[in-house]
Amino acid sequence: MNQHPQLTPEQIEDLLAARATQGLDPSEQQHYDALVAQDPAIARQAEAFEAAAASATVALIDRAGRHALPAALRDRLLRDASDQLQRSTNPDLRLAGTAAAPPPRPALFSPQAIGWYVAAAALLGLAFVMFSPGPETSTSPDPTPAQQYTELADAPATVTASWGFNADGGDPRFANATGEVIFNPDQQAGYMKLTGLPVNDPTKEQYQLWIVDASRTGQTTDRVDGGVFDVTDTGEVIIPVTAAIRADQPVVFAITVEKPGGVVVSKGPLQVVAAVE
Amino acid sequence: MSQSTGLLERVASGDESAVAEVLDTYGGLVWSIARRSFHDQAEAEDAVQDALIAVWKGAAKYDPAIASESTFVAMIARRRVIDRVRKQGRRPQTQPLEPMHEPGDEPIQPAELSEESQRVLAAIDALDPPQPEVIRQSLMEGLTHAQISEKLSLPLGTVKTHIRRGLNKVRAALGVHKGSGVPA
Repeated sequence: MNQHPQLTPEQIEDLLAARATQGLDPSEQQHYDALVAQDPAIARQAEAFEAAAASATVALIDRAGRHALPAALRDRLLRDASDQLQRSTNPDLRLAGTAAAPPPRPALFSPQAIGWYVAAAALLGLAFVMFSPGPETSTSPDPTPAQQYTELADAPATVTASWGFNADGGDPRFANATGEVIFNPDQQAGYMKLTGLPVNDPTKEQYQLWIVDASRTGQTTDRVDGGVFDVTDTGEVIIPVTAAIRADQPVVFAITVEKPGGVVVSKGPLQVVAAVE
Repeated sequence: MSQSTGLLERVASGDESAVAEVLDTYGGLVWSIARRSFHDQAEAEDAVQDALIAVWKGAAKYDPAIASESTFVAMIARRRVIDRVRKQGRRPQTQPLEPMHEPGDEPIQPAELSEESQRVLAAIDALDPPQPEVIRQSLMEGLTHAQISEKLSLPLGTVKTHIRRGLNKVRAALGVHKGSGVPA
């Protein structure tokens, strides 16, 4: 069944093959992001194409013969790796591979629901605080949002995605949005860096983050509510992400504009999207 | 379906002794991938460094049930090289990096191709011409589809079709129809 009526299956595969072999230009990337937002299974299909390209590359290189790594580069890499491992074995940072098994997911959703349903009750617990990247106060021992961002970005298993306007249905007033989002499935924590999102009037509308979770594909809850937030500055803002329920394999992040307090089921278009690299 | 030496699991567990083994086992592979896309030695070295740091950070994500270690490492390396080339606003270079060769920097023929590589090569070699050459120019020479179209005097759409069909044949040979578990 073709769930993407605007593209034939062959055209979708052409896009995924291009992504695997030469990368995508910005317009192709936006198209890809929109496809994955519609159907997270596309992300796994894309990975299968990447794996095929990688395996074929290994085979072709090995038939021709590998070139030896230059000795000086090998020495530099050894030093870098040592630094990386020391950081990753810090008990505060080392999470991947040692984290406790995730708790079972609650069966909160009806099988008839179609994706955007999330636990309404969980919304009550959302508390999104927007930080500005200003200097740390002298009385606070806590790390600044920028420091927290950097620390999480360096943690094992953290995924990164770049924000871009969804040209396929987004409102042009969000066309200048840029930035990055990071999320660590082990810590279930993340941050967004955003620039160029219009300042919103929280009495009229709020931004809402959604996380497309590929581990939920086939379930009714593949899009996890990432919470509502406000933007009070058109400069760069750092906003924490708190998924209402677990997101173990985030593949796409998307921002919609909703009524104050957010919604359980979004009917609005995706304005800004970010696909995990 | 996959071969694992357990090296990435050891890296993920913080075993520093495994790092040198990873470099000795896969460093040449990553270097071979990077050097095909950059004229400048420093750029190629930065790409290798970038890719291997991503391997250290992503080692915990490796699942031997899904892909071989070499495929996992190559996938990360290819991603980083493609991203780096695109961020530089240019396409991969098409000429080999002869000027950056160091003494002794010659291909080293592996003693034996892995069983997975043998299957993949058999699938590529069985493709109808010119599909094997299109695949080789894309993956080994880092040419874009447009460059391959020009070089082989083939319509761009035909090149895209050859690459799609070729990769699907490789996927079938691998028996992989799911993701590789490779992190960003």
